Amino acid sequence: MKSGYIYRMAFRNISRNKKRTALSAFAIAMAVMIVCFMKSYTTGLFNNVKNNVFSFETAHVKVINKDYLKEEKLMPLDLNIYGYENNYNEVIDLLKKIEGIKYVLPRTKFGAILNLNGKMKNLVGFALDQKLEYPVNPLKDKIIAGRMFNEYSPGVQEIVIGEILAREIGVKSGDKITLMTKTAEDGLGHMTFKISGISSYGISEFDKTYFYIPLSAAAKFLKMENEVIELAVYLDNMHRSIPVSKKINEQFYTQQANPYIAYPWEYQKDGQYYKMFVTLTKTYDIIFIGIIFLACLVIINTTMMVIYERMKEIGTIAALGMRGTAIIKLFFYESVIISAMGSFTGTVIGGAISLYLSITGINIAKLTGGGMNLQFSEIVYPRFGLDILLYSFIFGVLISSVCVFIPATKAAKIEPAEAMRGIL
Amino acid sequence: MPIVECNNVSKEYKVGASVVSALKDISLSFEKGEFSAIVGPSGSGKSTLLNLIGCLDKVTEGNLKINGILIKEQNKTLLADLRCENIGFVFQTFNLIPVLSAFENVNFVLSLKKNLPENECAEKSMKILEEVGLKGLENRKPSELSGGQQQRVAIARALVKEPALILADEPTANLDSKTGEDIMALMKDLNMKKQTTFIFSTHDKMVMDYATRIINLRDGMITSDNGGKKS
Repeated sequence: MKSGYIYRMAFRNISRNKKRTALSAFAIAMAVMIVCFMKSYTTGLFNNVKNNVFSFETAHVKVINKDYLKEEKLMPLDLNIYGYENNYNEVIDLLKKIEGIKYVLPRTKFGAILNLNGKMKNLVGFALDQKLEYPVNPLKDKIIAGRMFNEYSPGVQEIVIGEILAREIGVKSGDKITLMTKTAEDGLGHMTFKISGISSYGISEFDKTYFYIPLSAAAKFLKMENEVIELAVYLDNMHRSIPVSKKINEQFYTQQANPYIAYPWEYQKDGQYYKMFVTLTKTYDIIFIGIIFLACLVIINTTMMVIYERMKEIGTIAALGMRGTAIIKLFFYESVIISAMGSFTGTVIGGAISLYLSITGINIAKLTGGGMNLQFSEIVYPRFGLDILLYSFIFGVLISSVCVFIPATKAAKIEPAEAMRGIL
Repeated sequence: MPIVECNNVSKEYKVGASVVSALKDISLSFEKGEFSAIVGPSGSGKSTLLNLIGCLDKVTEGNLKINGILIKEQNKTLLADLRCENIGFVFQTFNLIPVLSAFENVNFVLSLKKNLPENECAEKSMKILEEVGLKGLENRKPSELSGGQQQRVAIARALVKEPALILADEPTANLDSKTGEDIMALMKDLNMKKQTTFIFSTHDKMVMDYATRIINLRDGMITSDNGGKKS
């Protein structure tokens, strides 16, 4: 039978009971709306975690001193990257020869103590090269007051501190603070810094305990001339971190008495955290199927009612010579039209909510009461994108259309004589 | 070759634990151009016999051939194709598709045939509607037509594909006597013109008067068959 005719019949059939059609479409619309918004939200959250984890913690591959791993929690500054003869740049040069590496960023993460009116506050310092860092971790863009620090020179010792920390200790840009730390030489070092800027990453843990100084200042403060704690390596393709790490390590082994190791994100603690989120996102996809399936029960139920009501009609069209496959198509098209209407409405509403919240953001800290030391920002911005809209729409149409196959196949199996018993 | 050939056909239904014998050892045949009526009281097996001839049900025992094709050897799809090509149906309650117009109801059966171009289908449908006296009413939905007009649409639908056989189940039962007579006259006229074989089931004396052959059924068995010779 010509498909155009079946489609025309299907289209007219759905207008036979407008209220019932509207109810079915509404159920699908609600489910698709939830899926669309939830997909935007989880994608936004996922991207946020991904960004934070890879920017600050794991990089794609981290090059560190082999022994550093054993004492990572203590952040030992003596177990660092010092190059082979002169400085850490020798290792960077070695890394740059390897294919697939996009950026190599020298960083030093260290613990420090802030003495504030006799009270001690433990902080985490990030020493970095702001120019090299910019494409990956644009600290400059996160400054909400003041400006980025200048490189160290005698008399110029500048620092950027987190927003919450600044509020807690009651300082603003232009003020001075003195920090103490254990140096790489195992001695006690202190330095007074001028606060050049206040930063906000929107991650409470970062904004409360992190501060940022240039590597040139860290060299003096930590007694780490020509040394850094890690080289954060970023690749063209983050999923090639294991083979690239292998190549890096092969290069390292060619050096005599090599003390360094390349450590892909997958094997790092925070990388596992990211992986957990990947799994969680996949779990959400299963939950989405469940949500749509629940809505589909309305369509299945409606189709079963329709089949019962149109039993005589099914018998008639079968008697006239319509094949079983065409009867399945008829009910399938009806379902596709209803689910397309519902999915479209749901996608539009869900998309509109996602678009609005992707601009304003959702303050998770407010919703949960705060206090979560997780790697995502307090304000999560759902991701609004055509791919998510398409995903939601196709998801809704596909699942609800597939669901209707069960009752439609049943309709096609009805014997015409049975359907019309007593009529012919 | 007869259009319909029944050889020792029996049909049994299971009703709960018991078996009901609806037709017992029926043997008869219908030739091209016959205008026959199957008559008998309710429960005599008229509808069952029409169901079997219309390939809507399968025989329990015996052989049934339509246009020389042995029915029990065909699967569901082949039976649908056989009905599509060879058999037209006229139902007591018209059984028009309510969402389609008179024209679309007729055209629908032609759309089941894959090899017919759309414009040819439309032309045929309009022509047959004109023949049954429904010119100008082709765009009306069944609910906008009278009972007689609906039955005319049903007849047009049965005839449009030019089947070898038309089965009509009490075609006048839901019509007033005047309309019923008009419908019978129309079918008789078409039978004469196109040499289409018509088989009716009926209680109606007027329908029997039109029929050239009358087969009496009682308790699932043929009690009389005039073989086309009226006394």
